[in-house]
Amino acid sequence: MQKLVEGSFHLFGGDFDNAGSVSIELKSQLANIGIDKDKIRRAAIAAFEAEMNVIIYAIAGILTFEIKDEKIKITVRDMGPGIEDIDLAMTEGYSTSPEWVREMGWGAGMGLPNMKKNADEFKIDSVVGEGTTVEMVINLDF
Amino acid sequence: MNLRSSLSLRLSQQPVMTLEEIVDIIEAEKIVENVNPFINIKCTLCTDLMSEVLYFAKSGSILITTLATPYTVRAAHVAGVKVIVFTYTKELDNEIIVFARSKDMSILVTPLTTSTACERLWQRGLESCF
Repeated sequence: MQKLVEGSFHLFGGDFDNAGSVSIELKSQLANIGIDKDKIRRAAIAAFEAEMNVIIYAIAGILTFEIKDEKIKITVRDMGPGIEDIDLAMTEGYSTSPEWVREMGWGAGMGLPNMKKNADEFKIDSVVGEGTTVEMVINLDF
Repeated sequence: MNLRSSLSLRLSQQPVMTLEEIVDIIEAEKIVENVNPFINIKCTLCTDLMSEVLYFAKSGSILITTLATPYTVRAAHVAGVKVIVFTYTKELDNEIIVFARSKDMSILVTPLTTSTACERLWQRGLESCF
């Protein structure tokens, strides 16, 4: 059994000043472990997209990661409005973000599709009025 | 350079530029400089949407944008961007400069419009990332 490496970070809705900081820290931690650069890039991009969804849409959230059995697993749970139609939300270019978020360079409707694109396994579970959880797995070839 | 020679150049050469060449082509000022002056540029990304940076950028891209925020450099770094060119920018937040230095990214500013800067780099052989 490969040694378990894990960690967690708190995320806060509306915290655009620190947007991306958690994903940068995750990237640094993965680099310190010696993971392949391309895998780190994919993990950091997927994490960044999930981090932004919490900042844009939710009150707060938590990002956890673990490296076990040659996989990086990133889970992001939020206390947000939830997603009514997940299939529609997975469509590239579909977005419910307000105009001011788009003016800040976000909310183009690419976030969830990009998480799926960069992950080898992607799961999303959402309850309207409660929140959303995304799980992303990136396989490692040690 | 006419269209035929431009196309010929694009087909025959892998675009590799030094930071100095980029600075010259787009009349830019260096704010932060890469430690490695030889940058293997793969493509140019002209956008103010960070969603597009995370989706379309490749390792070794140049980002040309008006959006001078700390999260711009964070998104660019995660996506593998090595050089960011800010257009219409008079003053940069110190957080941007400190972060770029710590991640070995170059930061340039140019008086050109975003579209003119992108067009000039395209004419010298750099493809769009889109």
